[in-house]
Amino acid sequence: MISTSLYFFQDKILFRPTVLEQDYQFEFSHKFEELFLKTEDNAVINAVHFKVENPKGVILYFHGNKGDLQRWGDITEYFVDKDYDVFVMDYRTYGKSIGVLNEDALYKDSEFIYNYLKTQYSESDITVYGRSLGTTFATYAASKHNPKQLILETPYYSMIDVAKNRFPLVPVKQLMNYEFPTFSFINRTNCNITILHGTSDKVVPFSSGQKLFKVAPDATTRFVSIEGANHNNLIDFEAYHREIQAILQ
Amino acid sequence: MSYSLSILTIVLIVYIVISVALYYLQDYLLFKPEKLDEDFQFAYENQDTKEYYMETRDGAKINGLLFKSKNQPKGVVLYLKGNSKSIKGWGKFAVDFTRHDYSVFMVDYRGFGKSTGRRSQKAIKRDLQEVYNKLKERTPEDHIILYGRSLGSGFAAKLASINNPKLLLLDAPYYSLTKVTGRYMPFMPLSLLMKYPLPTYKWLKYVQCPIHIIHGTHDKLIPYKSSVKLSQVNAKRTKLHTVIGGGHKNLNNFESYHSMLDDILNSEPKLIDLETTSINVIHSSKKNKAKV
Repeated sequence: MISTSLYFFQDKILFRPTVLEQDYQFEFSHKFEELFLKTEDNAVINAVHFKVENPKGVILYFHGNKGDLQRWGDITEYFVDKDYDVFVMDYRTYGKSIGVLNEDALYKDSEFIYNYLKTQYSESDITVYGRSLGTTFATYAASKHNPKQLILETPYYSMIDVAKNRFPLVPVKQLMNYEFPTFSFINRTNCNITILHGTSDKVVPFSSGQKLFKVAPDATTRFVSIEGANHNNLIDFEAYHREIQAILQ
Repeated sequence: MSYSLSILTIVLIVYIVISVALYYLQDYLLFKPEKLDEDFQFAYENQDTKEYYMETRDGAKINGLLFKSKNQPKGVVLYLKGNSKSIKGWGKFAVDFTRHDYSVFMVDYRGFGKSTGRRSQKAIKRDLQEVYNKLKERTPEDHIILYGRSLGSGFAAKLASINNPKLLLLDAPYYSLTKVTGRYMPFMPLSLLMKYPLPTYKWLKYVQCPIHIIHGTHDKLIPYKSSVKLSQVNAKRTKLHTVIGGGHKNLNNFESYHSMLDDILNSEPKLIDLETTSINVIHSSKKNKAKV
């Protein structure tokens, strides 16, 4: 019973988009450009591109599983304040983005967006940032290119690993339509990686982030535990600010 | 009653004793290494070789031998050998790649040849990743070919599942090592006992490069059908090459085997223009009947 309902509702559990009208006007406190990018399979990816004067670089931000660009634009303005350009997109079915949702398409979109950004910046200026669900796309994009660095906030080993933890008695592996095997991408990267994870994370367990760290390239990866933080409040911790300040100086 | 009970007890004890024995003896059953003295000199006719040592984090020493191609190499083949002997004997197969202007790097696993260290699946995986990293420093990754034969096929698949080599070549591979062992010990709790489960089928799923599988139809140790099954895991990227009549150890004695290697190493993948094919043509008599 639980298994069956999990099977049918997994998309609803995993993806929590909010949809925006196509003519919705974003409101942010920094200057931005709004884009609609058409993919090979005719999906439309809506993105917001914050631009500052004399940027220190650009952050390609892959957001979490909840909400739309209005919410995530607000969140990522934190980096705009640090004199970085920020590029953040809504995944298919989120906000104003349209398209058929499946695992493969999401990877392709992440690469498509990276390639778009590459036409405007040199790769040594691109920092790829992933948060929660988005960490897998960030890692995938980084594995296919040579960005300056990769930052992963509360990442997971694979979505199956997270689901196993949440539903210990359910045969999640057989039921899940999405795997998101970040562990299979992370060793394919060549750039510096910083993993940030709260020790009290109840959504993506701290142990899943550590497990990912163990299979990441030794020479380039650092793991930063944020003592006492849970899944959504790293920003409230001094340790997080210190770390971000150091790697984005 | 007590009689049948005691028989049951005896059977159970025997079963447990065998299980425990298997657990501790599996290294001896699975691996047939040949040790080489440290000052042993590798020598092959018509091959220019260079020997390398790598020290691992846990203090093991991994020995490898580079066979250089005569002309400017097109790339390097990381050759992961089977479960027997050492690279001393396996070196004779390097020519099958150097003749195509690929250099070959052969490594001895821990406890084989001149390599030392405590063996475990995890340790071997880690060693090979370190070797791969070293190769990557000298050769662009898209010029590295991963080759795994028999036992080595699992490790090659694992490496390919977390790296971006040019291609993965599996020679007489298994679905999982647990499954191979299961053919010989059908009633043992192998999934609990095996220290080297080597689940190739799990790893192949994450491979992003072309996969070539070569298998002989008359392989008695690892049946041909395990490659048929394996080839379905990541079908889009996989090509299955059949050596008709080939066994487990004699594929190199078949001309067809060498023409397969030639094809795999020297031909570029060709795109098919599906528009000009019958791919979307529906050929069904039932449909016509339904219309009537």
